[in-house]
Amino acid sequence: MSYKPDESTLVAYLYNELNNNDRTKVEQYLKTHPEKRKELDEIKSMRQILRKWEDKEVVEPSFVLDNNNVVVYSKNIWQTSLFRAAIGVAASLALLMLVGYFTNFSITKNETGIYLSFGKQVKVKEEAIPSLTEADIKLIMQETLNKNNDSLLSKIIEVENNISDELITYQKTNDRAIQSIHNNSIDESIIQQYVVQLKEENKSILFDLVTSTENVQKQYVNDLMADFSLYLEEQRQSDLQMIQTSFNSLKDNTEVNQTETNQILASIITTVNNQNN
Amino acid sequence: MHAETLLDIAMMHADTLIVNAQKGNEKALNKLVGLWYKRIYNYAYKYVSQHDVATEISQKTFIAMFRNIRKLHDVDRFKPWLYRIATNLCHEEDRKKKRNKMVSLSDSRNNDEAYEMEIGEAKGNSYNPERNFQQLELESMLLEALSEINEEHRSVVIMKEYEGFKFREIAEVLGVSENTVKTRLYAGLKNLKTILKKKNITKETVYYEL
Repeated sequence: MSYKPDESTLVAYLYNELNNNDRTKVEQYLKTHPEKRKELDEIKSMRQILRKWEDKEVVEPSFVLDNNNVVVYSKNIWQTSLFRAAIGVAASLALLMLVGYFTNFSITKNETGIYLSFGKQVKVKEEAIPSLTEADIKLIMQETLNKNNDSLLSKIIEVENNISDELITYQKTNDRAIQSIHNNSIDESIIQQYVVQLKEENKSILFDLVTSTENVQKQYVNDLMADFSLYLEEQRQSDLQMIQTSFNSLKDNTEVNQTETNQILASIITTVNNQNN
Repeated sequence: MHAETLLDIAMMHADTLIVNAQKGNEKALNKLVGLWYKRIYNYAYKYVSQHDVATEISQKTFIAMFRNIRKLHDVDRFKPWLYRIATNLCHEEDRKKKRNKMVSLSDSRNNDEAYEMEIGEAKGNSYNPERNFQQLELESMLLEALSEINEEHRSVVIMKEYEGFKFREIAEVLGVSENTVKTRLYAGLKNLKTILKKKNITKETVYYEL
């Protein structure tokens, strides 16, 4: 009894892939070698642990052929743009703060206002302005007011004089004009003639206007109808094309599905047959 | 893989889908992603133990699939072919990690838990905190244990225990002999067992919790 199965035979035994003859030989061997038997038993029970581990669920990405390149569209939510955008905003804020820190950016506020500064702060010296007493200010105001009043008065008097002069001259010319109108009284018949002539002219102008607009309108409507029918025709053509392509793809899909179903059915039938046999 | 669900059947019979994908049909390509993304992600997650890295690896795997599916000659070899891409990316990630042993500033686990909740909500089903907590506990224990075993053993253990591979298929993914796969699997399971035993994690303690 010098038979000693090698490891590949033992593996085949573990997975029930030995023929009867070999299996009996291995079993015989194991009976006389309890340590090997124990090892195999341990492996067997460990395999049961391994089988407890279930597959992880994954969402498969879709692949798109782009010329010779393959583009992967991942459906992983973890790497969505929103997440990346948030990271981006956070990073730019941090950068801003860093820049502020290194340039000594500061905002200070005092009675005279708000200061934004970079670098070292420089104190702004306030210039000393000689102070004025209330009496001084009153005096200066009084003087300027008096001056203004004087000049205003003289200007008003001047304007008043000018206006009265002009009024008088206008009156004179008006009187003269009225006088002349009274002298040349117009013949009524001339006026009537003139009115009739005016009426005629208006009539013809109106007639021309109406006919021309009518023509333009007709032309426009004609064009519109032509354009619309052309557009309808195009729309119909493209609809027909779309229906045609939809039908084609439906046909393709059905064919693929049918062949797949046939194959699956065939396989089910063979499996059933095999089991029956 | 056992045909337990309709999804499994669909995965095994996606021949037309693969042929259409090879012609550059974007819809067919995305249907393949829909069928396989969860598998590849969970495979990578068990290997690298980090959600972010696993997501990156899964996306890279499918980008590579989009680019190279035309070069796949045998449609039946799709599954090992896809896992080969993912496994190579996992190994690459391992080498990268070793080169610069940097610790990530953000605690990835927190991130993962937030993700778990998000998924629970997104699925609209009742998010069960207790059940979830137990799963997370088990997960963190097993992830830790897995990360401690040799990478070559690790990928074999995951493929056999969780991805329903046959030995022949694992050999194809890794480009080694079937015997090597079996030896690696045995070594991996043995190491894992020792590590879990050291952490005092047995079938009884886990069953008590779950």
